[in-house]
Amino acid sequence: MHHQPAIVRWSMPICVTTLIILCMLPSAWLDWTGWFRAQARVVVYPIAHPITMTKNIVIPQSVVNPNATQRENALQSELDRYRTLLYRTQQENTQLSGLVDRLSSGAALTPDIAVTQIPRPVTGLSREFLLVRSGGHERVNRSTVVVVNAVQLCGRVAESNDRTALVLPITAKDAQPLLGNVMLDNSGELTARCMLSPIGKGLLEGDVTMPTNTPATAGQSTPAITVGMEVRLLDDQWPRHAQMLLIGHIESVAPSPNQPLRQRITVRPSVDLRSVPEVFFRVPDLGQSGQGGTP
Amino acid sequence: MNWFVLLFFAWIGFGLETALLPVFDAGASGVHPSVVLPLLVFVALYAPRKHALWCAIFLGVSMDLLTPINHHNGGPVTLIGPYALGYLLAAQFIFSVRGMVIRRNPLTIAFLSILASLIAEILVVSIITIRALAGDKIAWDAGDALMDHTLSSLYTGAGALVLSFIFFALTPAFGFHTAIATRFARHIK
Repeated sequence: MHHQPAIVRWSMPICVTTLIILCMLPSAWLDWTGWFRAQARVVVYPIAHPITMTKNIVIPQSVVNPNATQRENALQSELDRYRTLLYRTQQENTQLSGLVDRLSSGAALTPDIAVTQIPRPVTGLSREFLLVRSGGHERVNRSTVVVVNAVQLCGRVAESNDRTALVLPITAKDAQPLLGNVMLDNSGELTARCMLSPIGKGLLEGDVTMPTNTPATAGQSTPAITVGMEVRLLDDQWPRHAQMLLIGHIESVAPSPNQPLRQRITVRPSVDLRSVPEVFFRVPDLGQSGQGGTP
Repeated sequence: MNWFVLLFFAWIGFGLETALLPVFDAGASGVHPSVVLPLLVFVALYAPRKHALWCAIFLGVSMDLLTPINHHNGGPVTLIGPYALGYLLAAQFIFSVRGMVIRRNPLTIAFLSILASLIAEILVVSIITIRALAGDKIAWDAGDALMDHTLSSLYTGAGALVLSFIFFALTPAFGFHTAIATRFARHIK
């Protein structure tokens, strides 16, 4: 009777045992798997990217208003950019006012940091993560802010290496909650705070805290929260240059089940963050960091 | 079995899954079909047992590497093993029932893909849930994941019905020899 060598006979049980052990190892001991993950992405990229490009040609990205002309879309895009700029400037003014107050009492100075936007194509999805072609040489690293169409917040880089980066969209089920501002009027003076958590299907949800009367809003009645209002990022956990980026628009408003006096809003980003063809990495420009007075 | 052809089609399968996942994702809810699992079912139906099991481990480890899980600290964690063991169990199941099914019928591939996918996904969800219960800080909702993966299995079966015609045509290219010609595709030699 023919006998196989011991290594051949035992290779399958050894392999299965190794896999079971690997399954049970704590996450802290699995950092070394990142190298293999990166190589697997590099192998799949040459086939995934052409398929993605073909898909983008055959199925173009959905637009908010499909009947709008190219000029109307360009004007809308320009309006969005200037609105973001206005809100950011207003927010900076508020922060600077506070900073002046704090400086007078000896608080630390936070320097302004210029930002470079690096466009990169999205190769595909890997579970909840967007797989993006990138590079460590472009100073893209973990926690780099990622946007779509210059103003729509997309998410943060969860991991990057020399060739690829994994981006966790804000709408991913496992993403961290965000603090946002509901823009109650177009001037940006009346805002309401909300903590938004992803609920799947590309949506975020959270309870709204209505504003109390401030000197700037004294005498004004607070508008009701309505569908279509913008929600923008204002969260200390995110870099300063990401503040006031667009999170999305309110899709529905309902009383909060836990706190009936508060309203719960459902927010949808202006684009489906899982199927964007291109994203922008917002990388702080270290060469110009002295503008604001580096300590 | 021709391993080179298998690797080539596995490469295309993983590329399709990565690139087309947003297109076939039902309502952006995490329910999407698998291209790789019907390939495994096809191989397990025709290949010798040992080849089928090694193929399952290879495809499973590749799937583990390409589907990281989110950690509470925001970074991805790659668990090598859940899909590899899931696919191994699925391949063993296919091997044990393949004598009782009509191999050259597309409905066989579709039906077995649903069952194999359910077996693999239940094992994957179980392993990750045990880790989460044991205190591993991974962002994981077992009920949600089980629902998504179960619906994905049904979706995979629908996709497998289409893919089976391609697989049947490629039977000789994979090095699988059948005495009875298939009625559903012309062989590509």
